[in-house]
Amino acid sequence: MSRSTVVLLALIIAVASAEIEGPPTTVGPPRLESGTAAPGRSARYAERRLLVTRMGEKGADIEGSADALAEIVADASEDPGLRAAAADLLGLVTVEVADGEELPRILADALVEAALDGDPGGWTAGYLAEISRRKDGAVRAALVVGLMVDGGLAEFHRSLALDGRLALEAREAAVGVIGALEGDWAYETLAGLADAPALPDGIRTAAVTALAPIGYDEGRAFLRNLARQDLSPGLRKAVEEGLATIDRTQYMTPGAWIMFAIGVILLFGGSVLFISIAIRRGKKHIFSDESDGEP
Amino acid sequence: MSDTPKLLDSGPPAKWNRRSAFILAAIGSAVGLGNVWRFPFVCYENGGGAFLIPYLVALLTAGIPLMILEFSLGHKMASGAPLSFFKARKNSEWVGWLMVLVGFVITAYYAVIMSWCFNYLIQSFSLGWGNDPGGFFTDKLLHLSSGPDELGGLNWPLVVGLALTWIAIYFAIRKGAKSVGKVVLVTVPLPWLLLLILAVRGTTLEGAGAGLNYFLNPDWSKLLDPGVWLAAYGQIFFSLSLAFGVMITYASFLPRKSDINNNAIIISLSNCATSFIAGITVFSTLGFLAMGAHQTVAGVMESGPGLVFAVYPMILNQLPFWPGFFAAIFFIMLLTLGIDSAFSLVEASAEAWVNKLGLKRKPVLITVCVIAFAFGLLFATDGGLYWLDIVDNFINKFGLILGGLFECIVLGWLYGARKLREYANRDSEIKIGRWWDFLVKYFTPAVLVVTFGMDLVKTITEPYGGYPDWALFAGGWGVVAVVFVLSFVFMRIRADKNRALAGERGGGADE
Repeated sequence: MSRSTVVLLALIIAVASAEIEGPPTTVGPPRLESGTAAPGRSARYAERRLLVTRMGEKGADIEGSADALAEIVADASEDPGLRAAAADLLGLVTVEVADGEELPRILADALVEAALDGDPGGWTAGYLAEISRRKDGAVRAALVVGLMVDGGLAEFHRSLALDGRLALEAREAAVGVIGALEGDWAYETLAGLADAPALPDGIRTAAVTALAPIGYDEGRAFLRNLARQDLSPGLRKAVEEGLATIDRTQYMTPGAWIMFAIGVILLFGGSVLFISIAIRRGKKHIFSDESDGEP
Repeated sequence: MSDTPKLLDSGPPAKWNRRSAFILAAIGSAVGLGNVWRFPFVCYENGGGAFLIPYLVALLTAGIPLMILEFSLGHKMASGAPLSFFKARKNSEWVGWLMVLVGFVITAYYAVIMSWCFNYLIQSFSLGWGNDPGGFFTDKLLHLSSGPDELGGLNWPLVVGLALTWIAIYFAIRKGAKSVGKVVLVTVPLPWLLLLILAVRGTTLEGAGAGLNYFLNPDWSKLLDPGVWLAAYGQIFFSLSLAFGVMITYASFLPRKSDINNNAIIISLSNCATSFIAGITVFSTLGFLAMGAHQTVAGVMESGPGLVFAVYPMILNQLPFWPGFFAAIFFIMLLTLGIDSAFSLVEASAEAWVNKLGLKRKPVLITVCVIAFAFGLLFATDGGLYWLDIVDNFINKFGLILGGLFECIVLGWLYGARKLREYANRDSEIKIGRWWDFLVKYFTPAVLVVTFGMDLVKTITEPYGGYPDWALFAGGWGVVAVVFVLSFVFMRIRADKNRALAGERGGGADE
């Protein structure tokens, strides 16, 4: 996706989020006051919007404006659409973290800062959920989550648990992003979310669903323990489905066994059959081992 | 033919002393590193267990027929690839040279990969790659530079490994079929045995079922995807050592009355069976790794060198007992899998020059080994991996595929598929019918044309690997172009006068 497309997309989201009222949005609750509140704020919004638009142009020096973009992303009071546009641009700025390996570290840091800021609307989670829905976005979102280190991850984790009805859908989707990240941290985070009775059922259900493909034996034991608790019907169903997913993932399915048998019979059986034909022929016909091919 | 005895006198220095030697050598040539690091990944990506259906169909409709085609040609003409094509159709000698040159280029970097294996084998017992095998591979072993433009100096551990590989190759084939026949008695069964040990170890690890599920659980919807079928034909074509001139050369060492068809079937099936067992070994251990790390198998899966030099060592690190022992087994298996593929390609080159110039075998062989070693030094530099990747991609996609295509055209159309079919059937217990003519003349060329066309469009529209254009031109298109030009140049080189006397054998005179 080109920079100008990204910015155009983000600005459309910004406009839409400023106009739509009521329904949940993946980039946090709509802020109708954006750009219209205090005159000073309005001027700042216009300035930032201009910056984001300029950075979306071909050949713009995004790296040179990375700090300003990070400030927009981390500002919880800013228009969510503009923050999303700034975050998209910031995602293009990579920093070398190991030999030759370049990652969007600045974006991850800005998102952590947003989470530290309290993130009452769950915007951080919403943004990640939003990019995870784009083509090949889940991997990118997971990468960004993976870059949130140590305390940052914990803050992000806590931001998912914040109460905020409008951001619920976004947070459920962000839980899926954690699942896509995989690994020990993802498993433990998801288990922690699934096992937190204070959280809305939607988030716990999403955590159980995301945990199952990476759970294996440990996940099975965890879900069996969870099943013993007093759960809502929806969550209980998710736990049962999670257990079934773990079984399907961890043990060979009948289809896999059948293909295993077909492979063994045709390839190994076939080899043995034709070798036995060759041996039989070698004994009674031409080309015994030392014959040099002569009858 | 009247001149057949002369051919046999001046032709190949030795013939296979046993049928089993030929079969083992051909299996050894076909079975290589690709069976371990390519097939499992291709299978997983293309429908898991369901991929076995197009794979087996491709084996029956392209793999075995082309193998029979090459065996028939080599056996009938009793020569290496260029001379065989010369005898089949005078102006088509360049097709044989094209095959041999493609094989030669591949050997040059294949030997470097074996050098990596040597270095890993040395590290095996102490698990010297530590907790970050990927970092060990790129930083400590390869000293990987920032790009193809930064070649850096020679990497001496790799150069030493490369030299050892070439010494091993030389000694394995110094007496042609005679020495190869002895070497393959070890280098073919041994990796099989080791692969079986690793498969047993893998399938008894926790999480093996998860890996095998990824490998074998069928996704039937993939069968409707034409790309999956093309992947199956590509896998069969790449993995059977076809269009390298190897099978033509090896078949030329066969005694007069040989069962061509059954040999082709046994060798093709054995190659595919090896791929299958390698898939079980690789995926069962990947399941173990995934389970321990709370990841999906897809999350830990890699193909190519990343699988054997980064992911697999990480798995070996985590084995509950004797990790060093299993690590050594793994890399000995890779070395023995690779060595017979490598020396078969060198054998095809050496035999081609012996045929062409009528020189003694030893100096020709030494010259081929030294030139290939020198060429391989490019890949033993700090930037060598980039060049290896570029050359490998282009020479396989364009050199090999076009070699196979021209082979089908020359032999199927110009020489006549029927003549080769009748020749193959003459001493074979299993007879092939006219359907074989159709496969060789129409079906396989059509598949190769489509594969070539798709690869060409993709390479032009998406520069391979994000490498700079100059690197793709020099290492990719440039190498392919040089190989084509040299094919015609070598055809033009004045041949030894005895060569003209050498004609077809067997049924040649009848036709």
